[in-house]
Amino acid sequence: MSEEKTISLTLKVWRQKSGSADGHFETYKVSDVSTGSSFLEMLDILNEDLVAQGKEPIAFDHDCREGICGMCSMTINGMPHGPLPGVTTCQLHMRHFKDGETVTIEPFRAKPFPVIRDLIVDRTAFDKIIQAGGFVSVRTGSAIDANIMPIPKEVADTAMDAAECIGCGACVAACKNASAMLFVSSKVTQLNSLPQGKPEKDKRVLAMVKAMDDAGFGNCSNLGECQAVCPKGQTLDFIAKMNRDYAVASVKKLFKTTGKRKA
Amino acid sequence: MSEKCCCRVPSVVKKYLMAVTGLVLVLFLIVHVVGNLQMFQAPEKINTYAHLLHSLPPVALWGFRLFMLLCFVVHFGLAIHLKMENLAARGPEKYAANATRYAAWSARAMILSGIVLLAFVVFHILQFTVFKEAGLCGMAAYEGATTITAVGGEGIFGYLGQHGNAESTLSYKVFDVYQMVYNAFANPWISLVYVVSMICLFSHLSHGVHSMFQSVGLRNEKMRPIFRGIAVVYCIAVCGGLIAVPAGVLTGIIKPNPNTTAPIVEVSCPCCSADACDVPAK
Amino acid sequence: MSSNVTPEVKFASKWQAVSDPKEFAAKISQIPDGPIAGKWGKRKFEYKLVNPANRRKYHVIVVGSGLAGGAAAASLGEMGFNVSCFCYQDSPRRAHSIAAQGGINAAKNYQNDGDSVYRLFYDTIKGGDFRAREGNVYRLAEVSNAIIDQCVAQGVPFAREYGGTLANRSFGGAQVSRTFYARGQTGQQLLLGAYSALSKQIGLGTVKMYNRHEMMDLVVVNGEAKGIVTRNMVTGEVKSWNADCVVLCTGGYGNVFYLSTNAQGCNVTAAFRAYKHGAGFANPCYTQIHPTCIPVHGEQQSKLTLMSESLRNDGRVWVPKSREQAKLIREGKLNPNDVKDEDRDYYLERKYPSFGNLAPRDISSRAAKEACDDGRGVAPTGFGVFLDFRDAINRLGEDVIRDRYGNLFDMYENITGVNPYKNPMQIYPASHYTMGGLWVDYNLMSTIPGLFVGGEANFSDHGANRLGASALMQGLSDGYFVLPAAIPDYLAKCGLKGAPKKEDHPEYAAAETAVRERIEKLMAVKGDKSPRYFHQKLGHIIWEKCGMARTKEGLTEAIAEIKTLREDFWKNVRVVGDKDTLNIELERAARVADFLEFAELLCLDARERDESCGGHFRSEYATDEGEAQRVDEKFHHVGVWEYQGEDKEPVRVQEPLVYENVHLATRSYK
Repeated sequence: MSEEKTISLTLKVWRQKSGSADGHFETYKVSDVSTGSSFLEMLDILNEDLVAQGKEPIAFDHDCREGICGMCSMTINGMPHGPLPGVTTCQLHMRHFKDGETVTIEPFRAKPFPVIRDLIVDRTAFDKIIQAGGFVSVRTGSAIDANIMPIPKEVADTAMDAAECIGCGACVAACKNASAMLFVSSKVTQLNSLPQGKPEKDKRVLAMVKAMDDAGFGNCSNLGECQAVCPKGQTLDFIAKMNRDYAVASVKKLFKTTGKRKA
Repeated sequence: MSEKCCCRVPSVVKKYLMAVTGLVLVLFLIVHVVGNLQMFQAPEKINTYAHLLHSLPPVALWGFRLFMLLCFVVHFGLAIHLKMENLAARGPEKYAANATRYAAWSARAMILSGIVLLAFVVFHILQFTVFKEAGLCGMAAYEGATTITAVGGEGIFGYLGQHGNAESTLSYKVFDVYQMVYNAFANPWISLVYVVSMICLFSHLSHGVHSMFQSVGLRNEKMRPIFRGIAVVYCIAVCGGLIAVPAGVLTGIIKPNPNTTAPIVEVSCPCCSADACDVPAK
Repeated sequence: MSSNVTPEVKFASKWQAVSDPKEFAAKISQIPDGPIAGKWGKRKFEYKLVNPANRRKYHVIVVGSGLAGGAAAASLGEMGFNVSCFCYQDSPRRAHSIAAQGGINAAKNYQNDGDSVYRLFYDTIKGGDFRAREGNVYRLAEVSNAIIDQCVAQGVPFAREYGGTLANRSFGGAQVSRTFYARGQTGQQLLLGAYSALSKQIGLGTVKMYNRHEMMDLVVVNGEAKGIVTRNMVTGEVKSWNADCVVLCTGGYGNVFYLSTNAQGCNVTAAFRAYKHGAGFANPCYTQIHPTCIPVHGEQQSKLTLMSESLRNDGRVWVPKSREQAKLIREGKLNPNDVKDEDRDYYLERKYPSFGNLAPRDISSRAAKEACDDGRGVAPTGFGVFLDFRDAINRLGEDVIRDRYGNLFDMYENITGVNPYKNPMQIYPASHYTMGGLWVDYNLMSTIPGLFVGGEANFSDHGANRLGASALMQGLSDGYFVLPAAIPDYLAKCGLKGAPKKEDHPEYAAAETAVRERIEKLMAVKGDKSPRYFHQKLGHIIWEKCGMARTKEGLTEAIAEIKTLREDFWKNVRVVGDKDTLNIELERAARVADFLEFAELLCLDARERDESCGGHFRSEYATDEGEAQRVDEKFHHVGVWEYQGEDKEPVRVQEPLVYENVHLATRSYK
């Protein structure tokens, strides 16, 4: 382990009792936090203090605490998942903060992510997008042998790159337009790149974009803030691919052979 | 298919529209810059060119103007619409702390630079197209005429000939665009407006041009630097070209038209008296 | 706790072994007779089917949305059943299956290295230290291939060779390369595959998803599981749900250790509530301690992070030979890179030459503990050993190592602030997986009819120790193939009378009331210690006395300490906030309350099992060389616990293990 010391911080934390209640910032002091602790462990310490004083602890989403489940959220000093690039909040360690620093902690802000309490937001809008088309329709047990369809390594690698998205929503939180294009395009890229996903390629991209629009996310301005905060290195390339696939799908839909003449 | 007709335009399609209308404006700018740079040649060049454009059949001239207007309106209208949607998407509560990790200022300020450019374009058209024959708010834009000697029946002079006076030895009087531009830029305040606007244009284009490729799905990590390069070269060329004209007038590289009948405005200096300046004489 | 609760279902009294243990085992385990390779096919034929037109009339509740739960809910929904799926996370995609790193086994033999269904079956039985059922394990190996096919078809981007075929690696103590993987995120990719299938069904309306709902109790009607009670974690609403059957895929109980590789929310509540209604709890003492985790750094720690076992393919595990050098390293006075090769003890290579650094998890973990107990630990706390890539980097180059483990190395550096390319990693074992769980028969039904259990929540397939890359296989086997085949059989037998109506059966209202009272009771204690305090204390007791090495005395002490702690909890816990809002303290308190009861069962089971096997190591039962010593004549069985009521000792009964294909052997990795 690297050398550890302890630091003290002033925290400005967004508190909001429920989705319908008004929120406000409260200021807390935490002291003697080990620099080896994670940011969430620092909040745990603060929460234990609050509980000891009979106050309600700060509610925040978290689960796996190893950077993969995508549940932890929160915006730290204006940056989703905090100042360290490429990591989730749970993987952010206190050695990246200075003693005596003031840290502002807010929930992810986006209309489709309403605040439930304190730093917890509702991200079911993402689930709805996946439900619209983020899958390959294959009945359990009906699959062909896994090696019948060879997939070039580069294609599999691209699909894997895109599949690493953890659905945390930092892209939306960081985007000044609260756009979900990076999230949606990751799934589109993963499935549309693979031969398995080809039959539903066009339907998928049209349906997922529609679901995204229905949820009320903003529009992409190609700013790249999403990829800068993405803890899993998703890139604007995926958005470009989605734009491309969408154009192709729209044109194909326009000139689709409609089949049998209706009586 | 029993799909319900949805009147809402999908977000991705809106981005295509922004990109395509943007592309039209971008291409137009190239033509515009090439035209403008004729200011560095003999005054006859740009004056003939302007005359040619104005002599286009009205269908072509107004068709083109309306098309440009349409692109401009769609581009700007959609931008405002997108901005409203985007502001709404952030939700009722804004961030208290704001930080940017990647996005350039120019990219974040597209709407701002866009509004400045809109104001500029209105000003520009009023100044050089609508009120070209009258002064605008007391600024210098005078009517004038120059003599052009036609040298043959080919090319643009042949075209001019369609007006009924195609004899190669005849002279014509055409509107002195050259001197109009000279007179306008001779006022440093006007030049300043132009230069500032062109800096805004640079900012707008520096994000807009390469973003265009992204919106229509032509970007990847390999192509990104190439598109970025195209955008940078384009921005420097276009904005440089546009700034060159007022700069040329102010620095005396562009001289007044010796053949003009219009009064010549002398280049003045805003910070000192006009006399003290090194004014290029007629 | 509400007093005088007795389970509705009693099975132990019916489990008095008839003279022939073989016959008895077959009867209760429901494993079909006949040759092992034909058992699952035979059973599938025996299963009653539900007419497709009638399927939507059956309501199935699935609790948990991980590999087992998500896959089961998706598959059942796809078949046409009316499914409700519950999870405590904000989305089904967050289930902790997502954190599995290494891979998933299958007997494809794509590498032509002599693998087969039978070999996978044998390796799993052996890896489980001969404490798993032959029939179940064979089925697991048999369906493993279909799992890979299914996942690939779903778009799971497994690693591939340049020729486009699937790549494999050798993993966690296997001598064949049968592990399929998606970088270091196999669990994530498989879970997202199941999640996408589930999402499709949610979109189609065959599955209703309830996020942020925690199962608080089971509802048993006329001796059968017919519903659950949930708490809406956002509004605090307590509600009962009726169904034709209930499927629990709620994961393991590793968080009883407080510090573990499990997610913060993982808990035993659902399984433990089922136990209290009369579901047998099998082999709780089989807990897996994973050898390659990042060592504990201090008291503030909330979680231990696993470093994939695949690191052991190229990393060499060592501690200094001398205690003096270890002490200098701990104090930061000696750079481990300066320790000469002859002063290093590559203890796994020394003790287990043929498996070396790839020795199975239980063995590697114990060896690390022994080294640290010997005073040769290297982390500042004294609890850590080195995992060194120096030789691999010298041999293969840093680029190759970066290509293989880049993300893991980055993760390590991010957490510890130490660059593992330059300095050896420090690792130490941590609680990771629990082989024990609710007892189920071959059809994955618990002792409560209508209550099915899948994935880590059941006990069935791993015996006393789970091999690497087998958990994903088991979760998906249960979820995609076994539960969707077995559940319709139960439903068909129930007939078309439909789920019990809530208004006709007071059990639902009573269960809701009981949950509300329990919540009230927790809130009413108003003590001065937080739920986390108790969890931490409990974890300490379990880790010290029921961790990698256990003794009878230690366990007896632990049981007494747990009782005291539990009493303290109910006197002094402080749950701030309201019950009708999102309340993280209440959530934790309810979970810790169940852990405090469950922990006792864990220790009881560990004390009762007078042998060492797999993840259960009793110091009294070791060979002269310190290896685990099984006592087959007494313990070749599944220990199943039946709840008897509040403050009553639970009863332990046995399901004999009958081996017809595999000979019991001493597990040797030398």
